[in-house]
Amino acid sequence: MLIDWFTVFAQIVNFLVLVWLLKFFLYKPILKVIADRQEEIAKQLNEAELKKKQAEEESLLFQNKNKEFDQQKAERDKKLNEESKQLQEHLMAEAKKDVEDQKIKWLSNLKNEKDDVFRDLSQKLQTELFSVMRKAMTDLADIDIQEPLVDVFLQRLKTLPQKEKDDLAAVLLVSPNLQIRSAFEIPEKLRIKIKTALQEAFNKEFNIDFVVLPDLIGGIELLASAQKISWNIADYFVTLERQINEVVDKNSEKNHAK
Amino acid sequence: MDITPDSIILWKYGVFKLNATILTTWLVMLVLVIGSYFFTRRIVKGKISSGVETLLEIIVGFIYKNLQETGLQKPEKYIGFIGTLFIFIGFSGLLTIIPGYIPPTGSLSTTAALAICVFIAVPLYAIQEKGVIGFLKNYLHPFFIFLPFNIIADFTRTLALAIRLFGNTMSGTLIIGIIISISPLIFPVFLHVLDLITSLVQAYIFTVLATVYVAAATRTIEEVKPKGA
Repeated sequence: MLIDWFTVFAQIVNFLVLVWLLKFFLYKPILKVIADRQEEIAKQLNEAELKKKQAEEESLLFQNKNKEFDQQKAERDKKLNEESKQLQEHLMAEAKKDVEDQKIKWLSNLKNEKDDVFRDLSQKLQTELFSVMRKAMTDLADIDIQEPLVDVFLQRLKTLPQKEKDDLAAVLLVSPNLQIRSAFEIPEKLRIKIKTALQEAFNKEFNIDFVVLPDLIGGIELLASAQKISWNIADYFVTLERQINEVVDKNSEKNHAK
Repeated sequence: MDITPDSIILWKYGVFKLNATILTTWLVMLVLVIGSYFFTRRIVKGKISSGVETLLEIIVGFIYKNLQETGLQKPEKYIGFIGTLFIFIGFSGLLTIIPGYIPPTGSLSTTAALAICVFIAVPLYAIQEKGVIGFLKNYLHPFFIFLPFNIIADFTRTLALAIRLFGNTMSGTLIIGIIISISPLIFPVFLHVLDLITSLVQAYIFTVLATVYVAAATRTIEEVKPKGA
């Protein structure tokens, strides 16, 4: 017979013993190792996932910071640009103002210098002219210039506009004291002539005080209180000075325009 | 020539006897247990280092995965029984490479013993999972008319398990014996290699069938029915 029942029973027992032994020595340790390893892998995967998440969060944070930084930089650049523009405008305005001030000052100085120069020039010219004229007339025609000057002065007194004459008369009515100023010593003959002329003009006698003032340069002045009638070379030079000033101003404007 | 190693009796005392089947079984058990102990001891202590340890892990992993794929919910619960079936049958067949070795699975007593083990284990697992009533309901599935057929199926499949394994293993040994007597050189080597593969295939078939029986018995009817049915 192919089946031996004792052997069958023995083999069942053998197999069950083998199951128990292998369970203990083979499956249990190996399954434990596999489970541990899977647990370890799962743990590592979790850690990796966690680190990945952290890295992503940090990356996001970094990107946000970068954006914020860029924004701040742009704002700062804009502010700096505005400030530099304002500063530039301010400096430009200051520079313009300085230039303008310097120009005004320079023009003022120039005007002052010009005035000084013309004043000196006119003074010298008057002096020289009067001196030359007097010398020339004395030398050539034996005529003193003082007398013609007095004549011209008296002539001017006669042809004085009515309004000025009235004003002077009003002043002389209050105070009969007069002062005659001249650049030279008026001779007695001419003094009498002047007194006579004045009496005829205003029908009144005056206390005349003759004063020599070299600055008048070849001229005569009548001074009564605040009223003054004068004729001298300076009047001519005032006209001359005005004409020269006009010429100089034109030249100066041309140079400035260039 | 002996068809079964049961007939090779080495010692006898009353009903107790020691034949070649039991002896080779003990030999296989010894090698498996000592080998497992020796190699798994190092696995427990640290990382896997040698090829044998890796091989053991691959085998156990393979069995575990098969149990899972066949539909068993808790493979670690069944791996002791079903895994041992595979390892014992496969290793018994592989040892035929040793000259003069007669595999214990070449004995109908051994294959019957293994089939009986499956025959008993299946209802035990089913009762453990679903209770006695749940297990008995399986016999009425799909209709009560199927009760006798289900009972017959249990016996026939056990018989088929035993005879299939015995037939294949014994035929391999017999064929090699016959071929050696006809052509003693070279040709038996190729047949031997084929026999080694066959023994592994037989171990796999026996194990898969046992797994399917256990899985079918432990599964509830709700699980078997498709969803929405």
